[in-house]
Amino acid sequence: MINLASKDISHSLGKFIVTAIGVGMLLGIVLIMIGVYRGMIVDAKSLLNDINADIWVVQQDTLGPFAQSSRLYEDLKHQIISIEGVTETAALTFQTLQIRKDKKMIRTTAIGYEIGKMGRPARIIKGREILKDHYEIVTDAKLGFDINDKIRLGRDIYTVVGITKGAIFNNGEPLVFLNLKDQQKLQFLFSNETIRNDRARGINVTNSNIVNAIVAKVTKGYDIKKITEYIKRWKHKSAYTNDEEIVILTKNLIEMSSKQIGLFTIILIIVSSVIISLIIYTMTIGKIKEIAILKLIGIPNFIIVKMIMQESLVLGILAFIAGNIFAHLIWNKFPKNTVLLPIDALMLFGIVVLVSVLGSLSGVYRATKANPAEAIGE
Amino acid sequence: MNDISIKVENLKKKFGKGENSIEVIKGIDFDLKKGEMAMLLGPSGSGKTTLLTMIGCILEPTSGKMSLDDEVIYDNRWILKDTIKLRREKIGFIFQSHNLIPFLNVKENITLLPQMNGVSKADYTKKAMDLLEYLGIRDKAYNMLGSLSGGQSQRVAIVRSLANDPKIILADEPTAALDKERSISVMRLLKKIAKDQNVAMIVVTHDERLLPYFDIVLRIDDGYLTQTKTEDVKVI
Repeated sequence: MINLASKDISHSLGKFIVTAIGVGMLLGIVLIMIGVYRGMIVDAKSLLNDINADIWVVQQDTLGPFAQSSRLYEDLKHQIISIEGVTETAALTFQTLQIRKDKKMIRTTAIGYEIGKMGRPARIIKGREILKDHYEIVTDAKLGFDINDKIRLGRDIYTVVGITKGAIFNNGEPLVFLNLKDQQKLQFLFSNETIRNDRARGINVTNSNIVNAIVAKVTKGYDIKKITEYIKRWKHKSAYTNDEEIVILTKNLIEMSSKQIGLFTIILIIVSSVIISLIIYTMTIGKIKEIAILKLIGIPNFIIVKMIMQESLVLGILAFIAGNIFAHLIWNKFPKNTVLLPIDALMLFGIVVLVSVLGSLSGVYRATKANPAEAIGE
Repeated sequence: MNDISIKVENLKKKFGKGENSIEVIKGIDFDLKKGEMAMLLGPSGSGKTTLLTMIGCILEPTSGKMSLDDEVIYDNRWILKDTIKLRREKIGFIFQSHNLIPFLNVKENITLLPQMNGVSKADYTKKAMDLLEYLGIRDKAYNMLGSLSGGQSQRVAIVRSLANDPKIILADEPTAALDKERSISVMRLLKKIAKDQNVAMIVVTHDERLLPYFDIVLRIDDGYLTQTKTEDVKVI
């Protein structure tokens, strides 16, 4: 039996493919939008995964250090390491910086870490970690610095000793790594003029041994949750397991953005559905005389319905393929991390198939209502 | 079982409702035997196409009775529900405009209905090729319609109407796009098919030179029909 859909498609192949590519570009944008959302989740978890701590200790009654400001004394790490089951602790600081690269100011986040401890740069692709106590910096490749480049931060000049790949903060910005001492000075030590001014006012704030968070690693076999609860009660601090910290990051920090992107994606899917429906309807109207002829000579409705639905499905599938190609061509051109996952593509494929079937219904309705008498006469 | 192929009794067709309604067919009676060819004549707007579309089960009459191939299909309402199947299996259509499917080639246009009716590929291919040969367009079998002239397209349409071995053929000026020689050739073919396969044919034509090929003349005027034997018709 002749497949009418394939015959009709091959008769106007160029027009059909151009239409599919057009719809495909729209579907490609849908995939990119989903990819941006996935990228936000990946970015949010990236630093936590790199630090790989079991417990995060922050200022009491805060959701710090990422969702809220948090300040702790550095020596708290010595009390925490004394808890049974805790094998390692590390103090960390986080600070948003604007650094100059050539004539441009670049936004970045600096992490202050203790040499050799949790928080040190992962995935160094060039150079080395920080080994000296002062004035060394490791930057992410995205910032564009090279080994031995000089960067002015505050009152001091730092030398780039290492380059990382994919070291990003939870908002997707590339990271720089500093020795904890340098970072504390940069973040918490006031200028000489301010210190003198404060002294004259009777305020003495020269202590820069402050950090934003203490992270801890727990020996296998100990209950991380129990130790976390213990720190909360005994130390009067807020403490979170790594999983809770992930929830804070994904729920509190990027919830609004992800909802916005989710809504935008839904709107794009609806727009794509309407466009596919309109195209199928227009394609059906364009051959209504042929449909009337087919009905006139006795071709049953189901053959005509099959033809319209098959064309709609082929259009949807071709558009989906074009959309995938388009998305994979442009995904890395976006400034923020975009993650294209096969599961999202599969989900979109399901939606496209459903939309193609539903979208063809208007065309099917028009075709079934076509009067064979329309084929008679000019 | 009798030899009447088309029987029409008091068939009426009214368009519109109430005071604005127009009765186009005002009670028509005629019958056509198997193997007979009828010439349908009438001035423009007299209801020829309306009558043809009602017999072809495309347009529902307002009232009356109609039987096709020994089967009552309409008796003040459709008796036969699947009129599409009836058209597919028993009726062949030829119209002024060739009404072929532009995205199918010549052979595919011709073999579409036999395929639907379950005829084997070998049989429908042979028949299509024989008919194309008879009408002198066998070499065009795999051409798309865009490469055919108007006359060639019309010949393809005629072949398509014959491809499903119809019991009834309804033709609306089938030779209008053909030259005299081809017109006569087509009429001979239709006459041969009518006789050999017992097919009843109603042909709308204004070409009175073709009168010798018909058995009956149906003249419709102002919604009324008169039926005359060909030998009794005086050509003016």
